[in-house]
Amino acid sequence: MWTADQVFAMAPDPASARAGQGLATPRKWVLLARDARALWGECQGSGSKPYQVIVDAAEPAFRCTCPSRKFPCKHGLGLLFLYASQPDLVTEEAAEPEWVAAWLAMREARAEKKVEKAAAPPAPERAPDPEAQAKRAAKREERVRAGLDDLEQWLHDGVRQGLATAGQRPRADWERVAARLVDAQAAGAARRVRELAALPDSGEGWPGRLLERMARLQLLVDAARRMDAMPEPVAADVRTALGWTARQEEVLALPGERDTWTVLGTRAEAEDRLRVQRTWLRGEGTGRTALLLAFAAGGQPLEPGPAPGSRFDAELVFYPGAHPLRALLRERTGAPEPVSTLPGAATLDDALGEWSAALCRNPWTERLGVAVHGVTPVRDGGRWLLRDEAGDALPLARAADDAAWMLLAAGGGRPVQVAAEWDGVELVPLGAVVDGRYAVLPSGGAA
Amino acid sequence: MSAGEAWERIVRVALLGTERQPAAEDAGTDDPSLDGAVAALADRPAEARLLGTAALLDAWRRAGRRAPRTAVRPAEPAPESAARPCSPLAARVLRQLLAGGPPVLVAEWMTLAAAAGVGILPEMLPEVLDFARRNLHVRDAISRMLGARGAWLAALNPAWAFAAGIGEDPAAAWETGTAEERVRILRHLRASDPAAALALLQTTWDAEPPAERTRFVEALGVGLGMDDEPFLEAALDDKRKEVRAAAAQLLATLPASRLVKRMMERLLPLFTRREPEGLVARIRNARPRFDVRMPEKCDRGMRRDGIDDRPRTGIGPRGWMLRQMIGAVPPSLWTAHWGMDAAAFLDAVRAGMEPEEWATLVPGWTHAALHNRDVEWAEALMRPQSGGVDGITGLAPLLPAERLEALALERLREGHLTGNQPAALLLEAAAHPWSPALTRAALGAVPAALSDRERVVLASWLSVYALFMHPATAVAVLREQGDPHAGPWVDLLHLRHTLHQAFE
Repeated sequence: MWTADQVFAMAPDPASARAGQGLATPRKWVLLARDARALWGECQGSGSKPYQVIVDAAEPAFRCTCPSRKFPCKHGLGLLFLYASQPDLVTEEAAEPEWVAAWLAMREARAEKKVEKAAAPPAPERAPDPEAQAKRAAKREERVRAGLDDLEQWLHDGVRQGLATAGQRPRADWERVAARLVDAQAAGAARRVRELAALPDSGEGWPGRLLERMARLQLLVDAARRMDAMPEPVAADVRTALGWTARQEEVLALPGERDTWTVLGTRAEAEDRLRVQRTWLRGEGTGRTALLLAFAAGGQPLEPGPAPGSRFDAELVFYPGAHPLRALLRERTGAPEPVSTLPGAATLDDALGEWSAALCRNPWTERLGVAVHGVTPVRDGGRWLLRDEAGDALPLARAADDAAWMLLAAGGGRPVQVAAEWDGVELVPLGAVVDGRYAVLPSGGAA
Repeated sequence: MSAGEAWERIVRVALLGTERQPAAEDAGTDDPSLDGAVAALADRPAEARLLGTAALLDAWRRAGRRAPRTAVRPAEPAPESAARPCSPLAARVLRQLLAGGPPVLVAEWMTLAAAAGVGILPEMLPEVLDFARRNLHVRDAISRMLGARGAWLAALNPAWAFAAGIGEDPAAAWETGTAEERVRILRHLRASDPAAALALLQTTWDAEPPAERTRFVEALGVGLGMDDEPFLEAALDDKRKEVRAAAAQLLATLPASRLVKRMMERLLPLFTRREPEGLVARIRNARPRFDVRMPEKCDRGMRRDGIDDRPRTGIGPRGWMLRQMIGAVPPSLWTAHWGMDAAAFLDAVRAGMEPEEWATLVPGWTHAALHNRDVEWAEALMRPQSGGVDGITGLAPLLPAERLEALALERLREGHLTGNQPAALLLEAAAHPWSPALTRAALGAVPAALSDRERVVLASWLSVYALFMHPATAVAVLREQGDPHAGPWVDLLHLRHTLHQAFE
């Protein structure tokens, strides 16, 4: 089902992983069993009644009767750790106990409902009043327009006075512009403005980096004004860049893409007050790259996505766009298995070719998950690079120093397959396949 | 101009601001389609035109980016490693220990892996090396398991130099290396070829700064022998006190060294054996005893041999001198000279003096026994009549494991652990994997009912014992007892049980 590394990656934090490992001993369990659909057990906690723990075999979905707010809790992780290391201890059962069957039935019903809801046209009695809807949309557009006018004014002031001057503006000034965009319901544009604020302090070459970002915002302002005249997929990209995300139900109603998907890797980062987890998949048949996003607010844990280094048959649905990347997992049609190789590019230039293709269709593309074969980490002064067999190299993120050393150690200096996230400037390694085995790499910004 | 040059130019304009250079018009690029797109912005105001042009150039450059050729060649690959990687379970346990387990368990993992003939997963080597760097006391245990891949990796990161081996040309590295590396090279070489290592040290000795001379002399402790004696004897005349002290320390463990000979010549006249006299004594089978005189003063020769007359503890200068002199000769010389075993000799010395005097001198023999790793003397000194429990903790580790276990078992029979100080100290000293029998006996000596104070004391002892108990036996005994205890030491035992199972 999953390797210990993959279970590790599911843990909401290192403490949970440790606690989960502590539970990966048969001594703590009064019951351990599985069938094709699920893995379940009863874990003796501090109370008199053992906690009932279930893990869905098809995807890492957990259920536990313990009162923990962490998700997955240590019991769920412990069960998976135990199964990963000593599968023989978990007996195959013909019949599921009632509590297991009930939970699985509930999950199935919910999944069906999701699909049905997406497939079915909106029920007439619940359909919103089209007039009111149009009015609301018009109002929103009006507000966004006003917000973007503000933004453009501010961008123009910046280049008129010069970036040298703009760079000295207090942070509160950038924040004010961002806040106005949030009010105007353009959260995506607001985030891009906030990201500008750190650039004047980003060291040598900052004016170029600041100008790039300001220019992309100008492009967004121009595009937003001409949205009505654009083909729908392009308009969808503009909407996404502004921060209007399509509703999940609408996306699920679209036709899906069936393939065997390999999980290249995942990366979690803090973004505003959210934690965002990006999981990059690649289809073996279609060659398509897909991005699954998960969010968690405040201190809430992220729900784990599919395990890095696994592959499974599934149907994905892509969010509309000129070069769709973001997707939803509609249905898994096969059990996950560990990968022994990564579907990916033969050289770094080939991987950059994928990046070019994405950018040409959607200039606001921010990142792309890639896999490259035959690369070796090398050190150029204080900086790690990933070098391919042609002798070309791209820089690794500074926060990924630990991952670079792990890569070097794993391959022993010989070329390996690496899965990474590329942001146009540097690579953040997420995982590697060496000798047919996938190893998760720490991505630095994961905390 | 190229798109790159056009970009540089537009950044310069943006940096100063359009209001200061209204005439900064674009000069075009070498690509007509890009120029066409830029030209379409012509009717915009200056700021919008600049940002629009920047957007086009930015997209053009980003989408056209190619990976640049690098001049950096990959490091020479590691030698193919023969070690079979450990099981996923063992790797997981190691990861858990590295993240927060007691360092000695990481060392235990290494021992178990070595016994099972498996190695560390290669990708975990950086984590393991970092751990070894931070935890000096388990560094050696870890370093032994790093293998060819680990040494190869360590050589690439100065922070891991301690694990990097000594390279192919130690003589060259000796001349150019850092102090740290050179000590490592010296120790390494001493282990295989002490004479060659000493010769290497002598090539540069006169030019070495004093701080390093001290460390190099200390490094000669590896593979020490009489061949080193002339060099060390000469080092007794070094300008630096620390160098002299380090040399004297080493010479004191060479029974045939001139220093030991001089020291014995000073010591023997101070000890006079008195045979029991008279009929009564003979009937009672009385033993001999020693009259011991204190040395008079510390002359230049004694100072050269590392003796001083400035006691750091609350004893007199003459007692202090004698204690140091005793510490500076291998204890076996006493037994050889007087034809008595260690216990008889010590008893005879003690019989001739006041208890305070005895307490002054006995640390000298303890030091010598430890320094020379003399098991007979360690046992003699550990007897209650020699010094009671004070010496146990220091000396016990010298005893062979079976002997230590036998002593501990004997003491455990005397009662519950809480009131049994000698047993507790012996167990603490038994820092080797315990036999199932000792494990069972120690756990059996834990009383069922405890006062709060006893519980605290016991818990701190048990958290040490738990590191060495036979884990499977311990877990089984606790289960038989109905799992009456809780606390970190119980968790530790279960953790070690898992650790051992990971290698089964």
